[in-house]
Amino acid sequence: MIGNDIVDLRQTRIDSDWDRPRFLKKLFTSKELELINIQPSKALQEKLVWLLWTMKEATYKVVMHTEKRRFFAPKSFQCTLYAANDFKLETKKTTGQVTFKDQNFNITSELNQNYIYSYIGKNNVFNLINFVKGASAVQKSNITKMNIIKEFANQNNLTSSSYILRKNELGIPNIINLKNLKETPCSITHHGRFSGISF
Amino acid sequence: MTDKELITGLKKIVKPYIQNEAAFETMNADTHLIDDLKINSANLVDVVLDIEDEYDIEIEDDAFEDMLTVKAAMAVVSAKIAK
Repeated sequence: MIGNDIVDLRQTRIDSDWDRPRFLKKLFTSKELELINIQPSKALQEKLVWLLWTMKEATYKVVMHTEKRRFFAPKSFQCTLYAANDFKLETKKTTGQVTFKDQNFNITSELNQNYIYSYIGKNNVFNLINFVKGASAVQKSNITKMNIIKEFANQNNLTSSSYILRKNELGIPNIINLKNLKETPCSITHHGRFSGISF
Repeated sequence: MTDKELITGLKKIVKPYIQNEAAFETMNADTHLIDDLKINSANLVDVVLDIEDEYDIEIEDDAFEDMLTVKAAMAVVSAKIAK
């Protein structure tokens, strides 16, 4: 059970206008909207919007394993923050729960002025990559793939050449050991200047 | 509305959000919004909102759940316009 999601806050300001009419209503449940609306500033609302969004996306990556289908239903993921009253601009870490159907997932998020990174999983490795300026989308994707294989190989005291990364038909990435063909599910997320890898 | 008109309309709508020009140039019913056009998932909401504005329709949450291909988007719009 593993899933992660990152947003580059600078990139969200280029890509999205979360304040656009009806935008939030399509993404968030009434409970989540309530929490967003009571935030005292636009800056806090923005931070919360993207925090909740990454929580939903990370959970989607987990449930895809059991749902065995791809879908876009952000409101089917109900997010709760354990310390919603303490949510501030300076908040560096939050924990919460995401409910999908009858399943609850505990989720951790790391926040700063550059990114929000949310992840689900116990005893997993969660790493963050900060790309050099000007890296192309293809370069970023290759760097991320190389990194996850290298990290995984290090943990298992093998070399990177022992593994390949392959996506299954649902788009879920797996690390495959070329010797015994053992597959280990992993989760990869990119956005803007950052990517997150976990296994 | 013909399929051709629908695809032309949708092409105009997705244009600001695509990140793969080659797939956009050859966009057809089988094109996948995420895998082919590389539209990021937060922008899928913008696509839904832009479709609503363009065709003056309302797309309910469960109607866009499977709207991940051009074909699926065409089906959603056709069904709504027919009503």
